[in-house]
Amino acid sequence: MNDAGKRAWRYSLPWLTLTAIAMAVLTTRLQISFDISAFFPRQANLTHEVLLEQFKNGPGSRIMLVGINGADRDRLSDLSYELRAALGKEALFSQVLNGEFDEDIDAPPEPVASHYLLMRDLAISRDSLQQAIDARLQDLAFGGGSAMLNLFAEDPYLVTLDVLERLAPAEMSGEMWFADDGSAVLMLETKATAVDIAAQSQALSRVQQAVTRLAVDDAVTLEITGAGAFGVELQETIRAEAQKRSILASLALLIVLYVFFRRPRYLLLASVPIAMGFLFGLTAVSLLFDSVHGITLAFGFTLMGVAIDYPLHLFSHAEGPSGTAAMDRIWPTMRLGAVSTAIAYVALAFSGSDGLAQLGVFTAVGILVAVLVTRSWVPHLMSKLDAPARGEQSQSTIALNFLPAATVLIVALLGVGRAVDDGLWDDRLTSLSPVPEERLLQDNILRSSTGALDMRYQVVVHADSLDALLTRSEDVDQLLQRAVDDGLLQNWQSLTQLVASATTQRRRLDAIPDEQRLQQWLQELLADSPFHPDAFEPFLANVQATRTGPLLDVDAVRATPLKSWLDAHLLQIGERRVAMITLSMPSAERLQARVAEWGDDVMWLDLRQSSIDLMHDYRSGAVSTVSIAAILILLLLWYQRRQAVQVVWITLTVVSVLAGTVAVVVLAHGQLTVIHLVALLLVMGLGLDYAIFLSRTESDQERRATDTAVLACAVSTTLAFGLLAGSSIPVLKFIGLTIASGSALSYLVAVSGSRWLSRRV
Amino acid sequence: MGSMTRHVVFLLCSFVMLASASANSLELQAILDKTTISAPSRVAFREVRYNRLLKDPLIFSGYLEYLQDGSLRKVIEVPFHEAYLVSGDTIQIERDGEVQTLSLKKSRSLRTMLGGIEAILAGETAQIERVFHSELSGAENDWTLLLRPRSSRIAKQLNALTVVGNEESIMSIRFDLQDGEWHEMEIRASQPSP
Repeated sequence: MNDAGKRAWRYSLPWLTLTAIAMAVLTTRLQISFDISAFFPRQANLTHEVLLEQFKNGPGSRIMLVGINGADRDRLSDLSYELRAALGKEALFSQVLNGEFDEDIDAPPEPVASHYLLMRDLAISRDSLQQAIDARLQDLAFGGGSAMLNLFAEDPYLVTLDVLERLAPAEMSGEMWFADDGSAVLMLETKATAVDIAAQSQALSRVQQAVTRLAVDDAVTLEITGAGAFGVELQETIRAEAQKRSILASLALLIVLYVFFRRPRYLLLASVPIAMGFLFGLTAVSLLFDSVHGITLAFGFTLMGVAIDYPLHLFSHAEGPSGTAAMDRIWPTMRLGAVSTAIAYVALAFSGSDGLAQLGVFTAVGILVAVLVTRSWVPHLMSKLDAPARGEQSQSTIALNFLPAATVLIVALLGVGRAVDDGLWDDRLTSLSPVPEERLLQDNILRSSTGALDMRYQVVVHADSLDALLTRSEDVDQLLQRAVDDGLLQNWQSLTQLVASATTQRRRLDAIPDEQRLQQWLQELLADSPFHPDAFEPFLANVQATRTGPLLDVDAVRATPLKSWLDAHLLQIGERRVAMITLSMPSAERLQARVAEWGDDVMWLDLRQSSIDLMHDYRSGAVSTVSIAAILILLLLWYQRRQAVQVVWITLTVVSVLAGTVAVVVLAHGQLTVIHLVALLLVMGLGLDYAIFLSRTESDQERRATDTAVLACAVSTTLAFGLLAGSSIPVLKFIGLTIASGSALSYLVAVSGSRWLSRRV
Repeated sequence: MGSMTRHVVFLLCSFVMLASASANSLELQAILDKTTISAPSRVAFREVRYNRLLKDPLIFSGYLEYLQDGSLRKVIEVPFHEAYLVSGDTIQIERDGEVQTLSLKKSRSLRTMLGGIEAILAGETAQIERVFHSELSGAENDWTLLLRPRSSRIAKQLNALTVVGNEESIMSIRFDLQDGEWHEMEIRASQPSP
């Protein structure tokens, strides 16, 4: 092994060791998640917690909508019926509905069947029993069938029907659901939450298999939407998109590298800092967080946009001197650029959502590692060895021109001002959703056909214990009943309609006559009736079981088919127990005003408004942390450069580029989202990098190298992110356009201010 | 209340008896070809119903009406008063002076059954055959049409439907349900609508 080889090894060893350690950490720790709620903000406010809980685990998150189309309506009705029957047998689903009544159900579900006497106030007396028996006799003139007879025998007062009617998830008319586009629609409720991608994926494939099996002779189309389905798709598309686009972008980078440097070896060397940055960024995230989000991985890609700049600077400057010598010269500038960009990303780590924090940590660590690798390892791998440095050349400073930046800034501000009608920021939570618009539209079409309860408005009751919550909810039930009587509301669903407070249950229990008396009444009443003397034995047995058994509690309900109903209406947030009351057809404004008077432990929740408020808070939080980062960066700049004109020029260049990029993004995407904000951070990093390099005091020879390097950086970044801008995933598309246009603008503004419209001094 | 509405079908079946059929031959088509309903018309009925909750069968009597506007009405007069009016897609139930309206489109098996009944009324044997397995026996003046549902879904509720008639009219119709439950309706006398 020659000297050069030995030296290369000596410098490689520490990095290779670190790489091995990082790989080991990743093998044991790395867990990928696709839970989009990681990108929602962390909040302490109860409304926001409830909101996020609803997004993650609420009833809406378990709903999967299936649309079948492509055949005539009769065939589609058959398929809808058969599919419901087939999926109803699957353990993965807690409910399968197609709008029709389930005619195969022989008995009401537990715990309603055995505990209905504890769910309603019921005055059992000889008179009321007489009336109930007569009414059931009359019903027999009309109806019949096994299920009905069982029901009569168990529950002559038909309390169960009343209870079940109140618990129904959608306004069931009994007619099969068809969407406006002609699709037959089924609503499935999965047992797993939307976050459980593995279970959701399994549920999806069950539906697909069942449809394939049932519609073997038809060319039907199948559409499946809902939070869980989107999660699965997201996993698949992110993987496919990230793969496809990173391959394309890597190819583009290789071509740029080759065009600029004509050295195949450099292609390989340039990938070293990028790969190391990615590896250590990922390791840091997997050490600091439970799981790494898919979108963080997709962001690995954006890291490449910055990390590639470091070897590019090195290569251009190493055209004359050796790698190490060139590195020594450009290191202060490169370090300044890298540290400033990293500061911006560290700020992101404190912005208030796990997802963004991951992005921040990942990119900050990635950038620092990439620049360190470029500094301490790559120069030793370059073929050229210590060629004697050429004699010191005279250095010159640039008389920087402020005109281009100022012009761009003014034009951009005017443009943004004119383009934005509804405010600069889009604070809808859905705008963050990586689900393509047309899929959301499809979801809406299917969903509206089911007449599902509107989840937008809910009343939230909270207390510090379950008992207190149930008691308080019962008060609220009475207030809501008054609201119904006053026409403010059609109906509501609340926890206490299934599980009443212990006090209420005991009162209902005490009101039930003892068994002997009941038996005697029945004997007398049935003697002269066509009913069998023991026709109502099951009712007596039920009364007896209720009287001697325990009261119904929440844990008992958890073991029944109504568990998911319970979970949707009872949350635990920290130490608080929270009851979610769903409303059907509320007069929102008037009811909200009334609820406001019901006390501090009763809240009106408007999911849409709250989510907008939440995003607003979140985004302004992110903007202020980033602003603090900007001040830190300015201080750093001042500390390094100490030249007011340069610092002002660099700052103005970066600010104008950011404004210009915002203008471009607003023109293309309408408004800004938090994702754009993240991408703008990267644009800031690029702008800084170009501006500090181009404003350097250096020799003519170095300046030519700098020109090449910055041009190579700008071309490669613009090209790579331009490819990303074509993605179908909104998040990737937003990032792509923002960074591609930001990088191009950065180059144009910085070069025109420091080269085309300036002179050397 | 699904359990109630789906039994509307049994009520509807009883209107089949409004059709006054002449059975000249034992061809289903031939019998049904003569089946015509002209509104208004009215027949008295006696209905016997039995199920496992009862010690004795329930007996009701009243009349069936086919009204000018095409709607059908069943009125129970004894032992209590109750009326059902089937019109278009809805059924109105009048009990103790209160009227409750239900949709007839609520259940799939109900719709299928309705299709079958309509086919009997319209004499469309092909359509009948789609819903039921049919078996015609007896003689012209005393024939029996036994109908068994093809759909297993309907069969869960209805075992068989037996229509008995002579050369002039349908005499009775019987529904055999599960668990030994049955409803049988006899036509008493045909009379013009008042």
